[in-house]
This record gives sequence, C-alpha cells and structure tokens, in this order.
Amino acid sequence: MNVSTMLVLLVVAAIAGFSIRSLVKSKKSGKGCAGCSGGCSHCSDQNSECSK
Amino acid sequence: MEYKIALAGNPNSGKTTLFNNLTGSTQYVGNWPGVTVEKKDGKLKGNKEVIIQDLPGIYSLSPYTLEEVVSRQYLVTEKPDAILNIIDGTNIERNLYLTTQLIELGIPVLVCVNMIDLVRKNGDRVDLKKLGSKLGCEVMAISALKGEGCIEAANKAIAIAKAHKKVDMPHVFTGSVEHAIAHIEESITDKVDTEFLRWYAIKIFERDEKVLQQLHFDDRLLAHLEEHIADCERELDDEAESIITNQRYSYISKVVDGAVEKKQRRENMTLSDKIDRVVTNRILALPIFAGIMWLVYYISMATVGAMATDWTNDVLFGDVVPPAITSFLEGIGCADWLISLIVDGIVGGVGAVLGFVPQMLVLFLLLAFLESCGYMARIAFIMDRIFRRFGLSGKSFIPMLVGVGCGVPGVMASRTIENDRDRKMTIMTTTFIPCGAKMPIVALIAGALFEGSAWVATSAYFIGVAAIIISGIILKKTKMFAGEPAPFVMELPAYHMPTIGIVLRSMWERGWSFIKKAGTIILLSTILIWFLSNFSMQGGFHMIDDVLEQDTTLLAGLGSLLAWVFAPLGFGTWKAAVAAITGLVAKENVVGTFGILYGFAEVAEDGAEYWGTLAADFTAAAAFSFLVFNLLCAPCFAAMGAIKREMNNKKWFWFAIGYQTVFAYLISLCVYQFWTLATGGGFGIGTVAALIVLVGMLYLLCRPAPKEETLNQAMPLTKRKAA
Repeated sequence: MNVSTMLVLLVVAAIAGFSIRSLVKSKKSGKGCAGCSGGCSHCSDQNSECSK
Repeated sequence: MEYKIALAGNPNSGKTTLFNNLTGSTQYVGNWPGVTVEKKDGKLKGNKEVIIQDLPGIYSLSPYTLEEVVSRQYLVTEKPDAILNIIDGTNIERNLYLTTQLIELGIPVLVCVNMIDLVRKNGDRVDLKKLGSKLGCEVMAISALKGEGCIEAANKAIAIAKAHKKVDMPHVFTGSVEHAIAHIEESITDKVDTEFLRWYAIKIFERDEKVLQQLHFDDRLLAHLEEHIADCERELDDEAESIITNQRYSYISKVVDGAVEKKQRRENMTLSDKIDRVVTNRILALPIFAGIMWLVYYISMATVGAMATDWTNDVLFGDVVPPAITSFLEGIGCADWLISLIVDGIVGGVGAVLGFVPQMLVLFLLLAFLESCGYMARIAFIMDRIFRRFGLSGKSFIPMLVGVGCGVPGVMASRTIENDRDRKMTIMTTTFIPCGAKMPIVALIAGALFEGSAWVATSAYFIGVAAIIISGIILKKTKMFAGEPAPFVMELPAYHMPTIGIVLRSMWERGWSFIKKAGTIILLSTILIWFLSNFSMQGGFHMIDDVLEQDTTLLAGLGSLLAWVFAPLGFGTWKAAVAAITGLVAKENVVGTFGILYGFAEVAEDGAEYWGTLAADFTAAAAFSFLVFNLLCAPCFAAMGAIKREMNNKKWFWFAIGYQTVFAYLISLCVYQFWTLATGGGFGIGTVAALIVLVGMLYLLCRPAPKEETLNQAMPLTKRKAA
C-alpha cells in the first residue's frame, strides 16, 4: 500500500468517522430521525394548524 | 433578574410569527417532557434576561388535549411573570374564550390584538381601552406579520411582570355560579396555591378530572364541594361544565359589544369562504385535490425538477465528478480498489441519491407553499368526510399530512389523537404515505420505465391514501380496533399568500435533512454495500475484477437467500432483494444501492444510460410492483423507532411492522400478477394466489363491523374518584 493510498484511505475513514459521530450525536440529543434536522417546526406548525 | 413571559393564544393567531419576531435565532426547540408537543423558548432580542416561552396553540385550558394540559401545567407550576396573550383581531370573540381563562389564573396578562392591519383593512374598529377595562387587563394592538408593535408588546409585558400588580378579576359568571365558586374557594383555601385559588375553584366546579386527580381531596370534602355544584346545576337546570362555557360566552359578548365594531359587509362571505365553496365542495373537492397533487408532482418530477435532476445525474455525477476524482486519484497513484470504493461506491451510491436533490427541493417548495397558504388544512377536512364513511376520522389524516415530509414526525403526530385504538391504527398506517425519502425511488422507477411520467408519482401518493383507507376499514372491523370514529373539529385558517421566507425556510429545512442523510447514513451504507458487492468468497476471499463476477459476490450470496421471497412479486433477483433490504436503513438507500449495483459511474463514462441498465432487469409490472412494495412495507429504522416509542409495547410494535410488510407483499403480489395477466402474461399459480388475496381482502372490507357500546354521562365528584 503506497503513501497516496494510505492518505486517501485515512481521508475516507475520517469522513466515515465524522458521519458515525454525527449520527451518534443526533441520537443522543433526541433527534431520533437519522438525518432529520430536528427542527420540526414546519411539521409542528402544520400539525398545530390541523390538530384541532 | 430573569423574567419569564409565556406566549399563549389560539392556533393561527400569529403566535409563532410573534415568537420568531421577538426571539430571532436565539430559540431552542424541543419537546415538553413525556409528550411530543413541541416546546419552544427563546431569549428576547436585545434583552437576554427575558425568556419567552411559546406555549402550544390552544382554544382553552380544558383537560381534553395534550396541548391544553401541557400549557396549563406550565402556567400553574412554572408561574411565568406575565402572559402575553395573542388574539386574532379579525376573530376577537372566539379568541377571548382563552383570554378569560388566562386572566383567572391571576398572572398578569397583556392581551395583544394581532392582525391589526387586517382589522383596519376590513374597516373594523377595536377600542383597546374599552376592551382592556372590561377584561381587567392591558390590551394593545400589533401586527406580528408586519412587525408592528411587537417589541413594544414585549416591553409592556416586561413592565407588567416587574410591577407584579395583582390582577383585578372581572366577574364573568352570574350570581349563583359566583356564589358556588366562592364557597368552593373557601373550602379549598388551605389546600391549593392561593395565587390560583379562583382558577382551581372554577376547575373544580367544572369537575375537571385532571385537577381533581392532582388535588387528592378526601371523600368528605368532595361530597361538600359536590353539594355546591349540584345546587347550582339544579338552579340553572344544566351541567356545570356547560354552565361555565355558556356564561363565558355571554360575558364575552358583553365585552365585545361596544369595544369591537364590525363594518357592515354587503356580502357575508370572505374570499377564503368563496374559495372553500369550490375547494371543499362535496363533489369537486377530491378531483381538485387529485389535480393539485398531480400538478405538484408534474412540476417537481416531470418538468422543472426533472430538468435539474437530469443535469445533476448526467452531468455533475456523470461527466464531471467521477472522471475528475478518478483522474486525480490515478494521478497521485492511489490503489485501484480504493478508487473503486470512492468512485463506484461512494460517488455512485451517494451521488445517485444526491442526484434527486433538485426534484426534492422543488417538491418541498411546492408542498411548503400548499401548507403555508392554508390549503393542506382543507385536505384533512376533505378526507374526514371520506374517512368517516369507513369508520375513521379526519384527525387520523393529519399525521399522514405531516408524514409527507418524513414518517418520523408523522408517527409522532399521532399523539394528538385521544382515542387509543384510533391512535394505534394511525401509527400503523401513517407511513403508507410516501415520505420525502421514498420519492427518489418513485422518481427512479418513473424515469427508468415510465418515461418520467408524473402519473407514477401521483399514483404513488394515492396508493398510499388508498392503503390507509383499506387498512382502516379492515382494522376497524376487527375487535381490536372497532368503535365509533373520534369527533373531529378543526379550524380552517384563512387563505393567505405565504411569505417567501417561510416557504423557502421550510423547503431548505427538509432539503437539508435529505442532504445530511446522504452524507451520513447513505454514505456509510454505500461503503458497506460496495464492500459486499465487490468481494467474493468463491475461490478464496478476493475482490472481483469483472462486473460479470457480480453474481458470486458476498452481497449476491446474501441477496439470493431472500430473492426467492420476492419472485411472486416479479422482482426475485438478488439485486432487487438487496435494495429492498437496504431500504430499511433509509429508503433513499434503494436508489443508492441500485446506483452501485448497476454501475452508475461506469455507465455514465461509456455513455450507456444508468436507467436503461436498470430497465433491462425489470418489466413495467415488476417495476411498479417493486415501487408499491417499497412504498408500503415497513419504514426505515428511524420511523420504526418512532413506532416503537409511540406504541410503547413490543407486541404492538411487531404487529405494526408485520402488518405493514405483509400488506405490502400482498398488494405488490396483486399488482404484479394482475398487470402481467392484463398485458398478455400467462395464468399461473401466482395469479391464483393473487385472486385468493383479492377475494380475502374483499371479504375483510365488506364484512359487517362489530358494534361497540359507549356510555357518556356526567359523573358526580365522589363517583369519579371511585372510578
């Protein structure tokens, strides 16, 4: 494995690591929907408009 | 010193707009503990010591809905320093119902008459001083949308909070009721917080269940209180709760009389009413709804969105990114396998999903417009009419409207449904509506096999609606779910031109979720799928160097274990099986998986169409069956997690997932088999199976429903305690 391959592999691993960290952080902060921004205001606004 | 100002008001009164004006970006959004009702608080712009607590939109402080319970719990336990009660200036009388209850709490109240610009435009007049003196609190006019008077309102609220003036409670009720309330106050003086003495007394008079549960009075005291209430009921010949409600409205009429002058209108119908006459018409409503949804999907999937997506797929992730990355990596001497992981795996998979971002943005923009202008609220009303014929309620459709963006908040929105059976049924069926994540699958199938026809997307939406109705009818006819549909009362907000900012913000929030998912879950999934689809155990563990060896890979081996299950549905190949399974992680993964397995990046280089390669593996019937299966089967893990939380019971969770998967399987079976039969395919065992399924479903739909008896009677305080 040459140096370029190792460096690129490190970059890919770092990106994958950041993704995992982001998912774990989202889960811990209660934003359960993977990828959902958690700012459910648009859904909530619509829900509150319609909920009565 | 820190001050807490609670923002309270009816839904659609402009609370959110005012809250955003006052707090700007210093907001925190979460949930009230234990419920999905959203909790928003923020610091006042320019004065970080003032916390603005946005309460859920409510019509009263009754104990009937989660929002009401959460709001009054906050007001009674957190004791904010002031309440900023925002009322709709074009509908003052109805909004004052909540105002009278807020004043009874004894917390200083500032009433803000919102939409004052509309009031002036209508030629109406509100005498703020008169209104204030009759209500016994300060009243001022604002326009939250135009930003008029908002900061002044906040400053006024702070001033009344600082002054902490004891609220001068007006006499809302007639003599005998006030007499009974006074007796109740006397009896409970040492048992409740005296700051809320009147509020508690009125709630006890109304026999408020939640308050009584909280106070734990002994039987003797309850019997004594019941005497006073019963005396008053006998005198006025009505039930306590009804007495309070009627007298409140009488009081409000007197308050409004003289303080509010409405301009005589030649016509009684507003523009919103005129539009609603057409849009919610008994005959036209559904075709109009179908037409609007078709237009939405036509613009986003077939024209505007499609043009942008074609460029993203063919140019950006076809001609630009993969060759650029490949040439860079080859230039620096990177290993071939790593180039393959990055270009064929990550770019191929993530790129396939990101390629649909333009279509998704256009779709989200149009949906945000429909939500903001007020039309989506009408859909719940229209669907209630249809649902009620089948024993369902339009209230169950609201989570499904929310689910068009993402199934998770859709499932969570089922908490607004009080009836437990209806709530469980809604949780089970909400994810039938295609969410944003499923739309790339729709777009892919539409593009690959149906020449980008907008009808595919529109039919996907209505298949979801039909699945909900069919499931609702079938489940309602089982003992588990039998019962009358819950009553459904809703307010239709007036139509208004949405502000560009709100629409774009909504579009961006959803779009960003989509992109973020691509960079997290999809990225990780594509790495795994690339690995499994490029390594084989045949002849020792090795990386395949020819696409012809794809059928010997680890992924093919795993996919083949399950592929036979999908054979009756028309897509019994390992690739389709794998794509469907990876869709459980995130629905977009279906597209990402196909992007890797059908060699997306490579196909773009040699000019062959990615969609053409996919089309070679599927007939039209099989493709639509695949689409239907993925639309209706168990949702992604995140949505499953939401279902598990909301069901709060393992058996119900597995029942829900099992039901969705089996339902999807049976419907896909019917779609594929009947479509094949209709287009000249043979009559085989599959067709027989589909016929049996069809007959079975018709039986379940048409059989008589079991009856449920209900008893609805006002119970005295002592018997309520025993119950």
